[in-house]
Amino acid sequence: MTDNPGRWSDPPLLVLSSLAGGAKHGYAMVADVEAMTGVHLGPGTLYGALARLEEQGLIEPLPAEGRRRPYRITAAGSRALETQLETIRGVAETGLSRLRASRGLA
Amino acid sequence: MLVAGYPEAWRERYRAEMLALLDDDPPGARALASLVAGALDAHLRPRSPWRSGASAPARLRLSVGAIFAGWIAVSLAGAGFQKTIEERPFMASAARHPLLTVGRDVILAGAALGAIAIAIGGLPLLWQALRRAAAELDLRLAWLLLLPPASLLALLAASVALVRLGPARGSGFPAAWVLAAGLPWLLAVFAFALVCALAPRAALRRLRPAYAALRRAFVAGLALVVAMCMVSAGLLVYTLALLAQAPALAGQPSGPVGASVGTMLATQCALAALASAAALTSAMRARDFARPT
Repeated sequence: MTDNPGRWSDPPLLVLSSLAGGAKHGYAMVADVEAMTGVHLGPGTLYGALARLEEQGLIEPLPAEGRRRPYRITAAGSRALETQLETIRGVAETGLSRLRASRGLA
Repeated sequence: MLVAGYPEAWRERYRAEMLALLDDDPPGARALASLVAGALDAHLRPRSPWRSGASAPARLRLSVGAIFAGWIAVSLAGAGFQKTIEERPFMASAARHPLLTVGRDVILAGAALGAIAIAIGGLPLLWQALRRAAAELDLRLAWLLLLPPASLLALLAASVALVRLGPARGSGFPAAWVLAAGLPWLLAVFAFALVCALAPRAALRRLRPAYAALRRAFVAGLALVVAMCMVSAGLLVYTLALLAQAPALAGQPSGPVGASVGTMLATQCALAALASAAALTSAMRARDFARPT
């Protein structure tokens, strides 16, 4: 089992980021990710990500509400998401500071 | 319909919630592409959350059917190969090159192992199906069991008729005769192979054997996969040795291999290799379901 949910634009990471705000079912996740990033997850992409995350133990299904089944992030999923977001933040801060420095030099 | 391309076990696990999502977010062209890609991914990389929800007998039944279908394809390639090399120049070549002998012996050993595996794994299921069909007057099951031998009889009858009506032996095959009779006969052979591959699979689905019987058939199926790999490897060794040594073999300047023979051998190798790979994949995916708990 890996605790790396993927690169910043990977659907699993987007799904984890969405579930970090609370349990959601499929359509709520699609709408949340779209509002958050502008990325519209297709149904095949979403359920591929859900299956992968569930297999890795990073999310877990809750009892179905009618035909809709909510999912929530697990403790392992929270840790993995935090690690990945910290890495992304480190890369972003380093990249931005270098950009600013190069502009200052120019 | 939109989720029909996903594996059965996947549909059991996610179908309802995905249909709810499609109701909430009606699919456009990109969503359809996403569904196709997702279905492909689910077939290629089955994941444990939904795979573990599949019933073990269903998975073993599917795998046994797939392995047997692969064996039929390998048998078709092997029969075509045997027909291709039965001419005198090939026999003379085989006597002069040790790799040709090795290739042929590996093929024969694979064929023998395959026959034993089918006898151990398949005959008990066939016996069970025959008893069920007779005891319950299950005409559909009986029809599925009769289809392969009936197709074989029809193919043999057509072959005998073609031999009798065709050109005299040694006079070659005129192009018109090949088009009018040879190609339809070839198609009939493929149809026969298709019937032999699909009818047992449908019969298994109708019979729904007990887990123990399926597990025994699956273990025999693993031996069948080994046999298929042996036949494929033997075909490849024989073909490569033949192609590499063609000019020196059979006492002929060009050896026994012309363009059409080379194409046929390459096609037979490719068919056997693909069928073996598909059967091996199916067996590897289902192996967890055959382990004692």
